[in-house]
Amino acid sequence: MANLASTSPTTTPTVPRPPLSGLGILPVSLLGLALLFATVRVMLGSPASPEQCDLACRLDTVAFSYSLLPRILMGFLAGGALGLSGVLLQRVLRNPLAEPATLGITAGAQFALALATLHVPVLLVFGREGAALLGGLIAVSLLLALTWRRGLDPIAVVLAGMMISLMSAAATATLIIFNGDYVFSLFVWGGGSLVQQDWYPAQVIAAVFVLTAMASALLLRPLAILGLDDKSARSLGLAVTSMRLGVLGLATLLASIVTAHLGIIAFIGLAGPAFARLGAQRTMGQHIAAALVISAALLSLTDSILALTIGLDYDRVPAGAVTALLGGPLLLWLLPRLSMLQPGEKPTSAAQAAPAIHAPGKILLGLAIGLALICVIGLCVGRGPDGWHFSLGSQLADMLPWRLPRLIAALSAGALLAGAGLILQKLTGNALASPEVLGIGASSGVGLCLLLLVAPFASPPLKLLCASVGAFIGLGVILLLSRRNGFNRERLLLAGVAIGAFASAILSAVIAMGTPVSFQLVVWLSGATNDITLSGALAIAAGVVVLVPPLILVARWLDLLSLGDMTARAAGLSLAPARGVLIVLAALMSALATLTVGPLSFLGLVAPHLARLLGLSRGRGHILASLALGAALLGLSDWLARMLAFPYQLPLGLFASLLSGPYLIWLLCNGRGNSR
Amino acid sequence: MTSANGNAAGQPKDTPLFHLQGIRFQRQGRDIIPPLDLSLQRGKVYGLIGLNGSGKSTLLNLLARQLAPSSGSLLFEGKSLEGYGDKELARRLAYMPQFTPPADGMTVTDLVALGRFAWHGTLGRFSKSDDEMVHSALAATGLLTYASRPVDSLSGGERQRAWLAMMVAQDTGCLLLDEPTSALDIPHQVEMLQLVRRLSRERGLSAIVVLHDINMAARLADQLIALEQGRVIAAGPPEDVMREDVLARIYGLDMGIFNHPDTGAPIGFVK
Repeated sequence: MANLASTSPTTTPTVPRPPLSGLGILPVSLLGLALLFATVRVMLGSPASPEQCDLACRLDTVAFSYSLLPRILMGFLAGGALGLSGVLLQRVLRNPLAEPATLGITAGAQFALALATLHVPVLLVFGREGAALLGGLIAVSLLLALTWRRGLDPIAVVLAGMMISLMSAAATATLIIFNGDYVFSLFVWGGGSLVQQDWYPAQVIAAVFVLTAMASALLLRPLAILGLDDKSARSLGLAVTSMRLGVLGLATLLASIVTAHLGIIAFIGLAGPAFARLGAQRTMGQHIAAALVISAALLSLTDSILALTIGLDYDRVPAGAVTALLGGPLLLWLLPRLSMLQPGEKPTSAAQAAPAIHAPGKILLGLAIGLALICVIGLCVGRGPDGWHFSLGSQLADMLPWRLPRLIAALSAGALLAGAGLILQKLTGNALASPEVLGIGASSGVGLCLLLLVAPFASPPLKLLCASVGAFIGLGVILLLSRRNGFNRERLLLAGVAIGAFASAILSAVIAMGTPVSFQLVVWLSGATNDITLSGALAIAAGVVVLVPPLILVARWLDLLSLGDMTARAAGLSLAPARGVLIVLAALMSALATLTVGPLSFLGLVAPHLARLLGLSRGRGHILASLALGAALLGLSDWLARMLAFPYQLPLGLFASLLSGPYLIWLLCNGRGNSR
Repeated sequence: MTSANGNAAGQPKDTPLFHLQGIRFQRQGRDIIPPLDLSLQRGKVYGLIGLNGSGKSTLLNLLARQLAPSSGSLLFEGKSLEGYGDKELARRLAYMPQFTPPADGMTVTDLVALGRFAWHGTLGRFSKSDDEMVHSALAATGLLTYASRPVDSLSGGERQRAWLAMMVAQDTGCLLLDEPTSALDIPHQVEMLQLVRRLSRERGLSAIVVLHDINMAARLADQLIALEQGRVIAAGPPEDVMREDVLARIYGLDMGIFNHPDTGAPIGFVK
């Protein structure tokens, strides 16, 4: 993709007009290039002349006309459809980061498809398209429900989208774990492969694409008005809500249909509109057309380059994986250039003012008692084929080898996640920061995944090292990026979401290759702790013992940093070393915890908040309370995950996220609204 | 009195509080502060005035070492500002940003106690003298009755006083305040500035205050320094700056002066 590389340096942050002005040189040249490559592929793939044809060449003919040709067409069609979907979403949500993948539409569609295929075949009555569309629509409705009261605030939308897609992905992973290798092909498909066997999918996508494009052409004028704020649009006589819902529906339809046939192809819907904006000031119609053309050309180019460079084996590397790899950097590059987001908003403050607290000791004591109680329940109370048991003595001794490692691992991971979340929230002064939201969990997953690719049976310490390096790099990039923007809190979240999306894209790409590593990663993604050993659990506990005391010692830094860099510096804190120590601590804590329970639990976000709601919001009290709450919540989740679906065990990470998810939803809906 | 190098205090004393020589600050290749020479004396209250974008906040940030100058030398109490350690500087210089962040769940005492960080450090004990300093800062700002209230539950004026108390607890010889009154209504503005002035008198503190309102600045400051595009265009005691021709240059407007009916102090108005 030399084109991506060569276009980016031509724009500087201060100059919105690149040298490539005029009407659409970029789209036209990209399209030309894509067509050229496609022609080369057609010529290379066309079979010998039909006169002297044996069986093999007839097969070639079939492969040519039923696989290669539809595939080439599909590259353009799907790319265009995703580009149109992305540009519509961006217009209608006034959010330059919106696209089917970042909003969770594709992940929702994917989950619905997996569910339908495995358990609810009746959903397939209207074909794969119907099920995917249903999933996509549910994802969009959820997104709207979560963010409607916040006036579809761009940041809230992106965060909610991230949450929806993380949870859908984990749920899909869980389905796969429960059903074994049989459905593994679902994940292979999930990587966005353009392989075709007939013309049917291309026809479906073409039909939907043409209809939607025509509808959008008719809606150009209202779409332009929607680009203003809602009040102005309404006063201009536009039925804002129904218009918005209608266009969202169109965009979801496009994305779902593509997902139904090709799987998740991330970032194409983001890249098209973004590059289209690089061109000269266009009218909106031209912008939409340019976005559409660029997206189509990009996807087709990706596929062609894969086909021409890797050769016959290229089906192993789905195009969606490659676009994901290109898309992450694109997203990061875009962030500083987003003028549509209003950075002047008030900083994100805590969900609500914490009550003044007079007896932190009593609360901490209460938490300790609660924690002990959870340990007792986790160890002694269990369910058997004949009902509930309370085991003591020798019966307990029999159970301990099974229950103790899981409990220790859960408690330790919970405490570590809470610690990491607390550090991140104080360090960035952002109440929504946490290892999950900032994508640090997923980054450590990338470290793990790269290690597994090289050495599938790596030792646990090595895994921890690589996961930590991944977490550290992810966190470092986020902080560097947001620092360049003057530590703007909203941008920090976006950078985190971008890193997370990028890391997740790499993970799904590797999973989609369908190697033995993939299954390990799927298990990790869902946060399953079934096969943890006692020594493994003790190693995590050792992590708590090593990492928590330093955190408690630097409690004062956290208080100062939560007041912002300027105040902290003015009070005499040496920012660089303090920040360095805290970043290392947070990265190690997230990596260790994420290695155990997967990237998903959201505990790192929730535990510090709960501690604050209890009235402990500063200093050591906040740290200790957060750690205790994190441990208690994950311990409880572990027990519930073992008991609820007995004799099956739910993956801990997914289950914990189901517990903490509602809190995040509440925070998005109400909490930040209060701070305005 | 309006000398271009802003030798505001007239005769030089022993060591000036701040001594700037050729201080320049650029952002994206643009001069926010062109090379600037300036000398500020100890024990005085300076008011920095000027239009939006005149560089007054930037100058204050340079003095507070929140920003590093692109070039030039900046001496604080006779020693290069760069040469101070972080805690060392924070024991001599307190700074309040223009927008104070939400103090998530902290009580007034918690916030003010943070001002002692430069003295007790990361691991040091919060000693009796730290405690006394906090108490005296609360007393000096009239916040003793609010000591255990959450900061975020206070009104704008009280909150601003709590932040000022934190600076007082920092026990420095110099206060830098960036528009401390921007979010306050007029009675609270007056109250805040009187407080700053009283602290300066009682404790012999130097203070450099960025202010928007010329009349408020003239009431507060011993010396006014007016900036335009990073240059000092007028400097001197309020009675020298509060003149029609000078104000017209500062604000680019036709300004008039009349005298306060009670105090006789000059008051500027837009004609």
